[in-house]
Amino acid sequence: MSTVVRDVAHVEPEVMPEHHYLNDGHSLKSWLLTVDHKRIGVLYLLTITFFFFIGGLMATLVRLELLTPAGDLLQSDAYNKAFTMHGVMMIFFFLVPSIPATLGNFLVPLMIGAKDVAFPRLNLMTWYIFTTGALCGLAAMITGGVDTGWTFYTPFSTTFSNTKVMLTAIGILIAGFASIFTGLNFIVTIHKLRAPGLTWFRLPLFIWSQYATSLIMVLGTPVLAITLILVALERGLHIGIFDPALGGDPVLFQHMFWFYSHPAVYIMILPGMGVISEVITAFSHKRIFGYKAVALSSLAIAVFGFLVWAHHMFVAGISVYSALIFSLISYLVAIPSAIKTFNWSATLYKGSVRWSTPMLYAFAFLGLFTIGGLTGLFLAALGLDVHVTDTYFVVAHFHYVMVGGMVLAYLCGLHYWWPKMTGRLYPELPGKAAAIIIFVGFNLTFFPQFILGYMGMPRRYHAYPPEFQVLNVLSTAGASILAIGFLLPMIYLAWSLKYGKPAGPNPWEATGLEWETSSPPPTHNFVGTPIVTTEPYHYGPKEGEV
Amino acid sequence: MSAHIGSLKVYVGVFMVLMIGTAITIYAAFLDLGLFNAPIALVIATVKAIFVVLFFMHVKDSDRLTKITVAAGIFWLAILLSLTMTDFLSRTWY
Amino acid sequence: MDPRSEQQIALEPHHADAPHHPRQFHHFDTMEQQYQSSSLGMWVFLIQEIMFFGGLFVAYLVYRHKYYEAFGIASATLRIDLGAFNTAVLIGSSLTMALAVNAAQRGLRKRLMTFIVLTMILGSIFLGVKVVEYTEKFEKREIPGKNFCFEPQGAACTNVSHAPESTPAILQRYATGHFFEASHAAAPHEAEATHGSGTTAESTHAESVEPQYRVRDAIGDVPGSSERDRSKPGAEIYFSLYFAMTGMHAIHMIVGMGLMAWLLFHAYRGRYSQTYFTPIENFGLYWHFVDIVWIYLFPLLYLINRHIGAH
Repeated sequence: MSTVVRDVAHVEPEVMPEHHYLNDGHSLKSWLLTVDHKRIGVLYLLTITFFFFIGGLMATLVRLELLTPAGDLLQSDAYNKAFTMHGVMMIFFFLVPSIPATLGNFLVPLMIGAKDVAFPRLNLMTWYIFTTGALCGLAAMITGGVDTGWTFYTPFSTTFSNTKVMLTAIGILIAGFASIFTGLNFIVTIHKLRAPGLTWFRLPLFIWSQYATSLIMVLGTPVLAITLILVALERGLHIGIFDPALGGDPVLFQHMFWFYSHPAVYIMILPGMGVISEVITAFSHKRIFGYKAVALSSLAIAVFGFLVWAHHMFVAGISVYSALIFSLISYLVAIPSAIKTFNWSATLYKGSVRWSTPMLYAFAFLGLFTIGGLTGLFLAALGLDVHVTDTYFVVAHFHYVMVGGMVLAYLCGLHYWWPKMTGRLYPELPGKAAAIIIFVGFNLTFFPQFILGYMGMPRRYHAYPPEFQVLNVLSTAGASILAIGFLLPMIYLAWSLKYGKPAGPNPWEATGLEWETSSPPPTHNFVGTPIVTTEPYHYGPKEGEV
Repeated sequence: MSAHIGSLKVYVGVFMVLMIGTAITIYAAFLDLGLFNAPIALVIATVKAIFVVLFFMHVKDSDRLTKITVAAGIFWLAILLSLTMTDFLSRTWY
Repeated sequence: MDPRSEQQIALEPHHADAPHHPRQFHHFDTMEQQYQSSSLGMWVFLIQEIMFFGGLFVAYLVYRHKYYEAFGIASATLRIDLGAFNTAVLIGSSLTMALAVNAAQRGLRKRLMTFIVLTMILGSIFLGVKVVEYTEKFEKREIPGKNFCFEPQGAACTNVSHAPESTPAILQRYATGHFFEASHAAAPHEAEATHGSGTTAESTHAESVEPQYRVRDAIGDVPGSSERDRSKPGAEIYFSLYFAMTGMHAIHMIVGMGLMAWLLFHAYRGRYSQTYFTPIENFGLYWHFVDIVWIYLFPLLYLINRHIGAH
């Protein structure tokens, strides 16, 4: 069958619309007091990019230290601070808000045909809340840092650590409320503001995954909030909830902490999966295989994700019967993710595949998420987990899902919707180059870490036995390539703001309400209220095809 | 607006039920019911909570989405409490 | 074929230009949509509050199981009369709040204001009683922390080896930033002594400041220890949870009082009517939730083991 590959450049040149949300008011006040969800999405984009850099800086310190077996670059205290701040910045101030707060804020009302989210002023408030919390975390870093690990295990964090635990905990607590209110906003928006005719099973899969993510944000984050408050009370007032010397139980802290932090990792993958569903259908020009299965799998991941948290605690001293239950459910939670992966692959089959930059990222996601997910199953097995827990195997696993999965999906979505957000096309060749550099750099960084972990190299150590050096050097080399790969989009995306070709309403010829309005969209999103009568992903055959 | 306007009689009636429930809880606390003291107190508290939710908070006359939301909140709290306790309760089994 | 031509996206003109209720926001199409969205938003907020308090309840559950006796002994020192009175007051305030919502739904402005004021009065009484209870705890030094002392039979406090910190000293400690540092980290030798005492049955280090009592395994008992000794770690944990749970509840009530003042002001200004009473109704949901939390706190904190006559 002949496949017609559409080259976007051969379409007649598009022009930028005259009035859109970006030029609707130029003052600082119009940005800082905006209630437009699209502008709020842009504000979040700028903020989290800044914190991604800070987290990346910390990662650079870690990888530089690990070039040599001796702990020569950083003292162990400083090294502890480096990996702690890397984790805190990346998780709480970059990954958790990333897709929901940037792409989600921008796209959810557009995709459902609404004028804005349900609570626009609350939306703006979440950006201020988030930025305040993140700045607290930054202040903690600048004034001395935290060395407890992003997991804040007690009693070290409450009693013995002499670092800025309080300030960091307060920062995360504050930022958590931004997360809760963003999720609340999305849940109400998706329930109540859908355009006429847009029934639940006509929704784009990005909306389904945002909805599932929002459920997790609303139900899980409060438990983290109360846990951090108790840590702060114990540290400040010495009241002994978690300190064994005062009668407390450190394992209780771990239960409460992981009750949020495990579902949090699903916050850090579900939106990415939503992006992949959109991109794979658009660039195969074909409807998704098994729409309902993918939609309901998002919900299943959200629900099951709350039942598995103690798989982070298998060696913490929990009862073996409890561990068995959590291990079993951890295997079950992999099933919906596997269903999605099969369905994405099946979507590609006999599709008309275009190798644009977003599709390169989506392909990378498929492979890397599979590796990350499967190694998660290794860790869910009690016997194997005892061997590899707290080693680099775990580090490699979660970087495969969080970076190879979510960060790549974030970049994928950023490129896919960049024309919609800015009205400009990014340059395709640098885009593809960056995607390939990131893929190579990522694998070189993290694949050796699976081997290191299996061989027994522990995590969170600044010095290691000399036999591990070769793999560590490979990993650091990969990290430097990865860094270049991450820097490139910053440059060419910024370049495209001024010099990129105007994109027109639908440069990818994709389905979805967001492509029915101009690029960039007007402040009120649509000229009139859309009325939906078709299924999602209703791609027909292309011109010249049967 | 689609709110259901409750009757004053129902509100006062529920108030009486809640006060009686409180009195029963206190009375039962002083009786030696062995193992059952705690469960009885919690059952009475739950009955009181159900009355507040259904009548004061109008959930009885609310749409299905509201009812599902309430059920979801209770379900998630139950997950937190029960799964955590599977660890602590089974620590001493062999 | 371009998917755009297949898509039958019709566009209706926006409703924004049609005449609408003065309190309707522009991003909603109808007042009904706005009402339903606000209501759902409030309920979603409440279920996250359930999870927030839920964290405290799980801590309570775990420690109640671990320190069963100590919790009973400590709980028996609470004033059940004040607790019962407060429960009645709060349930009463739930009634007045429900009547306030009812008045708002019927557009009865004066009655709405009356019931808001009544709810505020009852809420203030509750908070006043809590102040009385907390003061009593403070005087008996049953506040967890450096100066904790739990002697239910009224014996002298033998477990603090230094005079209690005066309030100016506490304030100075906070002001100079020591609040943000771990008390153990400042004195590593103390930390070792304390840490070491956790593994031995005796804690006879003269220089160790805390804890003064022995650490207990939840399951086993240290032979020769008295009931008073055995209740110490559990008692401090009990009081930690007592203050954390009732304190968090009280904070929610104080926020509620502030919100009621705001609602009262707007009710006075005539903002609410039969066609717009959503803020009153949503606040009512919040207030009833706060009531439900107390409905559980009262038996869990005040009524455990009363039947044993621990006194």
